[in-house]
Amino acid sequence: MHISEGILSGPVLGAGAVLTMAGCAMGLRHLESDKIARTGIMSACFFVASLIHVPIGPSSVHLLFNGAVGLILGWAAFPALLVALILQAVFFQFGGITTLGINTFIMAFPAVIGYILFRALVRRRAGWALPAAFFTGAFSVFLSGVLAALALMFTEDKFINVAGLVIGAHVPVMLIEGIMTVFLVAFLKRVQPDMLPSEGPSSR
Amino acid sequence: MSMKFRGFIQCLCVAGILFFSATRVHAHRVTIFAWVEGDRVHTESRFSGGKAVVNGKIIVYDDRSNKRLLEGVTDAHGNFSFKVPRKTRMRIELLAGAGHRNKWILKEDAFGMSPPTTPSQEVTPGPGKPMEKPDPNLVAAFESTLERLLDKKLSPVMKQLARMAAPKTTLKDVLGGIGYIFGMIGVGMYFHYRSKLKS
Repeated sequence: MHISEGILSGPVLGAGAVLTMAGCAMGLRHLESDKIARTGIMSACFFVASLIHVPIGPSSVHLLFNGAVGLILGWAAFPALLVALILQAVFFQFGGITTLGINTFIMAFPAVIGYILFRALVRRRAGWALPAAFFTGAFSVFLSGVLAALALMFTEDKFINVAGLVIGAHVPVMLIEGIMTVFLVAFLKRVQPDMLPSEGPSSR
Repeated sequence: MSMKFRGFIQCLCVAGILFFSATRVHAHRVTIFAWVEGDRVHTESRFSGGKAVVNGKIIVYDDRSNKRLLEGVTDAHGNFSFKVPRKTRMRIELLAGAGHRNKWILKEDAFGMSPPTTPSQEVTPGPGKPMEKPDPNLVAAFESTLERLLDKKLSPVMKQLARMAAPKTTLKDVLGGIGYIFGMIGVGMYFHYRSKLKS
């Protein structure tokens, strides 16, 4: 889901950069100083998760982990994922420097949407929380695919074709990330429930 | 052990599990290699996970003039080969779809373009019997056979060299990235506790 250099047009890259800057501003505003360590560790998890290749399906895909990052960090997912994507571009040649803005938006915006939609349910009892966790993980990957297709439709192909290709390839990732998020939420509910999102509007 | 510290250790464990599972697998990136064999250029396109890029679009440019020379599509094994249209520096671009793109530069020397002969390299006939000029047709046939044989023998080596030249993700890169993130956490914590101490 990392878009390479030289694929997208200037306006798309510019729009991605502006949206990411706005998201990062929101994220940094909401980032309480005692949550810095948590944000860094989730950023490190995302940085490494992209190396986990899923050898299922016709294409080659990797884990994203953005749903779990969003659930734990809220708006702070924007700066956390931006840092991870910068390091991935530099160390692994994933994506690129000019596409950092749009790639961050593609990964972080669904993370925040997942957080906004499912945070209330995740705090409830397991009957609600675990399905909500699954949907957070799967939905974030799905929305990332839709956003990637939207960004690519201006230069590559029709939206429906690109979306079909990207989302189709990521179906196994959606399932894996949904299950991983269920385990993560079940684990945190038992040992560290205050890491899960609160009912309030601010990020944790 | 405080709750916060326990949470930190638990997060660290999750990161550790992810990290150690990741070092055993490959990164996601698209790569293209190209090498010359006789009058043909062969390309191999793969995702770094090892899967071949099927139906990936290949566009060949003259890298000097930026002129498009030809284009084609990779087969089921991720291969595509073409006859050399012009012996020049080529830029071979791969568009693997869904925003994946990479390129390979094939320099002039890959086509075995021999450097111009200098007078010092010419053999001067010694005194005595004058040297007979070889038959040009025979020389051409010999050169062409030798070239074909060398291409055949060196092809696997060229392929291997091309593969080795592609960037790879190493453990050092992974540790370096995590180190940078932890360094940033440290800087953040430093400012956090400094302001706390001041107040």
